[in-house]
Amino acid sequence: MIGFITKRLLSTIPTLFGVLVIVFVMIRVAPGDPALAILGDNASQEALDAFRDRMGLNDSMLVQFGRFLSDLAQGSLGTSMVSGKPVVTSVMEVLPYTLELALGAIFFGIIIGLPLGIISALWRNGWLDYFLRVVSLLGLSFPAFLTAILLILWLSIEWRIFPVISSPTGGPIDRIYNLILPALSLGVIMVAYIMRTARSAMLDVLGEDYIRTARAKGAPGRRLILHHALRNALIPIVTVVGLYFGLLIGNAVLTEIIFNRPGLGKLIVLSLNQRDYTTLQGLMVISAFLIVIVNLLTDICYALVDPRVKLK
Amino acid sequence: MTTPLMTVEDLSISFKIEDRWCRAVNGISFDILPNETLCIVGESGCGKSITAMSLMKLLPDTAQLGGKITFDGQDILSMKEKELEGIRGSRIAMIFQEPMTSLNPVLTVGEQIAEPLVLHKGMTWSDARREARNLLDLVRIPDAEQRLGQYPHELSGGMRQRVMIAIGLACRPEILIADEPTTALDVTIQAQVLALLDDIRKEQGLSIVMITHDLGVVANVADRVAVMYAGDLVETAPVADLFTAPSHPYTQALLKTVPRADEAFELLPIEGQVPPIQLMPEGCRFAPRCLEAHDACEVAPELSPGPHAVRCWAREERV
Ligand SMILES: Nc1ncnc2c1ncn2[C@@H]1O[C@H](COP(=O)(O)OP(=O)(O)OP(=O)(O)O)[C@@H](O)[C@H]1O
Ligand SMILES: [Mg+2]
Repeated sequence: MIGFITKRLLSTIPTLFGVLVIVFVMIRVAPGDPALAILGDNASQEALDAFRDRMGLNDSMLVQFGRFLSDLAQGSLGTSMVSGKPVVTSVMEVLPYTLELALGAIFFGIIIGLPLGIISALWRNGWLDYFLRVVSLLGLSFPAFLTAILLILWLSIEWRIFPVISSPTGGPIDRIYNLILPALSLGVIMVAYIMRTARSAMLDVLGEDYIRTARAKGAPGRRLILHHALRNALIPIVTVVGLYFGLLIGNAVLTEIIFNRPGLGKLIVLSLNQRDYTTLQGLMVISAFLIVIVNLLTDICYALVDPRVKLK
Repeated sequence: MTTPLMTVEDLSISFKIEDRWCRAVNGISFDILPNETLCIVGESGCGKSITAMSLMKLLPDTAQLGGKITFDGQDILSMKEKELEGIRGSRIAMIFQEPMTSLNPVLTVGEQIAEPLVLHKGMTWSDARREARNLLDLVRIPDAEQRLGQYPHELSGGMRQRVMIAIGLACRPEILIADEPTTALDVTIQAQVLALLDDIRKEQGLSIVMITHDLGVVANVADRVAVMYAGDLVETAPVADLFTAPSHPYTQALLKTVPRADEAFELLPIEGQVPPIQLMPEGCRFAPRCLEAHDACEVAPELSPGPHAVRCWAREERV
């Protein structure tokens, strides 16, 4: 297991290096002068020069890239051009909020999507199945921000169950309470994806020979579905969850802004407004790492649900 | 006469194809006697598997069943699903043609063998697992203890079929239905598995219904044979009678398709093939392929009475 994880992490180094190069170059060739953007149009030439000097913007690209890499090797993503705070610190401060939001969305996706998908498969082509399929199609085609706004209008403003602004500041209970509505609105897509995958996976599995074997053994219907079939149907479902995690992080940014919730989303908007290039660069690098780790976790989940997959 | 374990009377199986009910099995009757091996033979598509599955009412809901299957005084076909669950795997067990796909890939061999014991005998999982070990010994799988923790993909085809047999035998059923249990295996393994089944039948005194299209298998293991053609049972006889005095033209043709050591080599395939169920001919279903067909064959003949029964107008001249 440890060996597998190390090997997988090592094998992502070329990919990550590619990401680093792209991020680095993108930021530098993007129009706009950070010194001008940060100090303003009225800054004196001396001030601008001093700023460029301090930030190392006068060095050649190669030198800058070397510095970027050696910083990274020491676990540093540099300091914010605006606040002077280490980028790693400001990202790590808000990352847990985004992660809990994404995990909350997956949680809702599973506890709602999985049972509905199974029901849909068991009553395939019945009216319930058609209804659920239409609903899931709506869930997929509805933009996340619209879902969020509708949920706020309905659950926060009309019924006053949840706060309009998600400000998780108190203890764990308060934190979960503040998480529910954003996670639910972000989870709608996940519900739809998981439901559709669960439906088709269950339909495939229920037609397999080993289900007939289980029936021939006298296994009752519930055991047939929840034990024999579901265990096998989980394999494609794990894939979908892993695959859409990246999409989820992307959508989380929007959700966070709508709910005015701390997280990567707010940090990105702030950094963009302030032209804080180092922070943006750090954000992208950390997101890339995140995706790598999620892929790794997906592979480990595979091995857990499918004994034919060996972690080597 | 021995009382049969199971009696199948006028069994018919229909499927709806393009809004029309088509009879895939056309009213067949036979008995299963205690401690015998009954072989059901016939070409591909003649309804062997669906007949076998209907013996424990395992067909999908889309199949329409008719007739009566009496087991222990009760009609299997009119039983509720709950009652059937109590019989399946415990008193009647079934093993299937495809050992590669018939075992659940994500469950251990041990769990799959132990499951019927837990379901039917009320055993705890650990007791059932211990019994599963014994069953692996019974089907002659070496290193039983280690095998219990393995998954199907770690076993060869022959091993998997032995595991299927172990699952089938777990609750000591009275009837074991084996649907082409050796077709997917290579020849030496085939012989081993057949010998194993025969030994176990003798030891445990169960009845085996063996589905096959291989007359070599029939000659090896059968006590009685039922020959099926296109959903009809065309001939049934004790195995020796069938091989020495085949009476139905289809059986005769079928026998000519196997090479025999004691005859000049003359291999004759049967012309044509089993029609799909939506295109079954009226009258005798074999007539279009029968070299001896005549006018009378436009009306379907009845199965003659007696231990060597034939369903053919020409039988009087023959038997
Ligand atoms: N679920 C189904 N729906 C419609 N037709 C079916 C269904 N199951 C079986 N049939 C038809 O019933 C006929 C008999 O099928 P069956 O599987 O019993 O054949 P078989 O004798 O076992 O052949 P094989 O040697 O190929 O296994 C075939 O024509 C098949 O197409
Ligand atoms: Mg078959």
